[in-house]
Amino acid sequence: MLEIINLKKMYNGQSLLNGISFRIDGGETVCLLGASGSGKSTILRIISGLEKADSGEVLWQGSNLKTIPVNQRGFGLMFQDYALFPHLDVFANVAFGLKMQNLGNKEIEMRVVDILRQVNLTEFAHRSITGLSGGEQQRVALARALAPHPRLLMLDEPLGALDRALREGLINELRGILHESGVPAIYVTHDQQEAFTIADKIILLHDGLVAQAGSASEVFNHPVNPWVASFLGLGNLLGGVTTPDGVNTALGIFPCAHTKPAREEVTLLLRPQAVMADSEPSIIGNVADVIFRGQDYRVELENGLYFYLEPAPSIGQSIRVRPLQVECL
Amino acid sequence: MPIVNFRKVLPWLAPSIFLSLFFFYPLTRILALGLDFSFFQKSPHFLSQTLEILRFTFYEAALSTLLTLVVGLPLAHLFAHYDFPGKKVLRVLTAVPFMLPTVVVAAGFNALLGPRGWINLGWMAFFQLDRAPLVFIGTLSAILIAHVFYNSTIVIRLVGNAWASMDPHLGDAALSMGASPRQVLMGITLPLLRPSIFAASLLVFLFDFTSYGVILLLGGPRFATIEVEIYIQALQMLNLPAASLLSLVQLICTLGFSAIYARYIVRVTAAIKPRAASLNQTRPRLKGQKLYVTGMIIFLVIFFVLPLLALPLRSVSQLEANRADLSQVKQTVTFDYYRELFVNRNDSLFYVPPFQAARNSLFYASITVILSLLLGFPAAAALARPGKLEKWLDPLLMLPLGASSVTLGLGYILTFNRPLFFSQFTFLTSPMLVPLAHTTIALPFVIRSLQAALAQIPSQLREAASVLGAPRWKIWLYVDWPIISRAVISAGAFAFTISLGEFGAASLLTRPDYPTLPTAIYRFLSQPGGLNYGQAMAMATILMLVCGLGILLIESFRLPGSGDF
Repeated sequence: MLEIINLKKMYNGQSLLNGISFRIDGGETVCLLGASGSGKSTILRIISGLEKADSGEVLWQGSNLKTIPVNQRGFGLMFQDYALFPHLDVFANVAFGLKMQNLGNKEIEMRVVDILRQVNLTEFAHRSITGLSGGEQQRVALARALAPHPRLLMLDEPLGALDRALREGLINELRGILHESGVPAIYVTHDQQEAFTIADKIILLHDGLVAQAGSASEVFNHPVNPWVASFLGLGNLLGGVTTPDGVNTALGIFPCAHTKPAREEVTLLLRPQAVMADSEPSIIGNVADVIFRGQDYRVELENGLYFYLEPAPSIGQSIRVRPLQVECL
Repeated sequence: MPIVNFRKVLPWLAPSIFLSLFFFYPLTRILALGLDFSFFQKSPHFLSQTLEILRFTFYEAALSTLLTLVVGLPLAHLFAHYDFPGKKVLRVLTAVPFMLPTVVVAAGFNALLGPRGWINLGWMAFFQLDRAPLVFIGTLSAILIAHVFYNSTIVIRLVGNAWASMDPHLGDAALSMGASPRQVLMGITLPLLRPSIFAASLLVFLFDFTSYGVILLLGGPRFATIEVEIYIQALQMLNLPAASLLSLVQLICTLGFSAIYARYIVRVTAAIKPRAASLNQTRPRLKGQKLYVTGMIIFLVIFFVLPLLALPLRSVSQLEANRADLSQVKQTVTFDYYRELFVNRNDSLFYVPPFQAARNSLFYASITVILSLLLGFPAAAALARPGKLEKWLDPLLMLPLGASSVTLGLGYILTFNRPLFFSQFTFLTSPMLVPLAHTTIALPFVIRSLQAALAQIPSQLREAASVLGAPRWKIWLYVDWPIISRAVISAGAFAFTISLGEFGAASLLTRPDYPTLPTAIYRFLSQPGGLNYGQAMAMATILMLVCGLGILLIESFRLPGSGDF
């Protein structure tokens, strides 16, 4: 449905987007995940038509949107700060987009009541915006974005302004509402937990490029490069050189499957799942810290690596650890 | 136990005695005289005349306000949304007229557009005309243009601040929901700006409604607002009851408008979320934007700089023949007008050299500074930590803001032209009346700015100092004073500038042998002759420079964010 081809954009003399391409198909929720400043919001602004790309194309069902102004694209956009109109009440905020479609008052009323019920705000219709809590404002913003039945819904860090506890409750609610509405959505966040919860597909952005795209389990289980592994916090990263036996690192040789030629510099991902064992390949280190995690312990070694172990060694003890999963990136 | 603690009353003693004596008492005199309608029998036309004056006052004020909005709103948009080189300077520039004395502004426009101004003289020289082709002084346009020049800054600041702090996402959100740019303007932007536009309009209207110097100096005898008519009735017709009645009408109107404004401005400030205004500001990038910004800047410079530049230049230029030798026209740079200020000519308007006026003004201004700081400080200190008494007294203290200076002058004439306490001491003959009136006018401003400075000192600072062993006076010396000294300088400069440029009360109260700079400029401007004109220009230039210095002091020492209306 939506296809982004080779978007480029300079910002204050620095390149922000270096050629972003991806596509979204009907009914799926795609999550743009990246550090702050990675240009996630700018991509949304370009798709919605609020900003122009320096080059590249935005296609909707194959046709170029370049000449179509913002207000005729029929996309919904939900802002991080919600951008609720302070001079209008909840009802009028939600009704705004419908009014712009010149719908009759009866129809508007019906649809607003309907959508307010969906987001559990039925009693709030004639409240003033300024009196609402953060979570309530967030739901009004969602209702306002959904009410005009947008062809595509874009959400820019929709939970970013809320505190942790509220976020966890709302992300599930949001997931439900998005699935129920069936509208294709682009969800921008810097929080991987949020992304994993809500996304059918995750697009990781780094250095103005798509670093990796795929389902949550794909990116989690098969990170394509060290940046992805480090950004998602998948484990310990270790530099090394390929040899016929495996990868030679400062901490020993680790066998791992790879298709690279010999003597090439690579990065090893040692996932923290590990056991204490004397057999090779293993790492020797002194325990610097032990943190209880529930099912096991996070053990930090003096050489900077960490593993999840059970039972817990004592601090200062010299241990041998065998990582259970080693990948070559 | 007494109802009111004496220590609480103490700081109020001096300011309340002063205001009772020099504000409220004169006001009661006006009230008494104005409500005695017996003079109607003597002048049957007075009612219709008053209605006509009231009508004109409303008319010119409404028209001026409308024009000020027409000029101010695009400028507010410019300052709120674009970033361009020289922006800060231009923004300050638009605020300068507001603080300049009316006589200076009038002299500036006179120097540019008056019969002896640059444009007319240039036109005449170029086309060999013997009469000034452009008639500006004495027209309604002159009044309107000067009012716009004066008050645009109110719209720029009030509406501009609201605009700049508006969430830019609101417009984006509306656009993304299918609103056209026009619908965004009508449905989102304007409704959100409405309180600030309304508040700015009210304030501008209030200033235009009470306009005095501009009408008198630029409008000429054909136009009279209530304010001008008070002066005419009091000094020319010697009809004090009529002047008093007009003062009452004026007072009721201004208090009404001020009350509405006070209610509204609260909403405006409440709606403005503190946010980095720079977030909304972009450098003009598109061709159309560049054209718009450049055009606005050119307009700004022409409109705000030319009148202020024409004045000093005119004061050092001999552009026309002296009265003595009409045949020969020398066009040179000259300091004659300044030299003449020190000469006491036989045919002079005063009995003293004009330079004496500058000395008088400086003397009056110094007294005003000292008096208003001495009276204002204890009141401000008490108001900074308001109790019951303070909440009650606060609006009373601010009341002088609502009374015009002409009304004040009239009140002094009514009150002090006869022995008040001592039979041989008549105040009206005393030159001290002018600085007393100026202190009354400056006091509310001084109190407000000192109060703001004192209130912002967290009480923990004082507590920390006393826990560390500092006695009360050391706390004051080492904590309070260093923090508020800037505000004191700013408030003092404010009082000084007000006194120096004040024209309304001075025009009613100054004696011919004891002129102030503004009254002297007015006298010189209304006399024929190139020399008188040149001297008016020279004095107005001096006044402009001194006031400019004062404004600079006020601006650089005032608390950040505490000076916006």
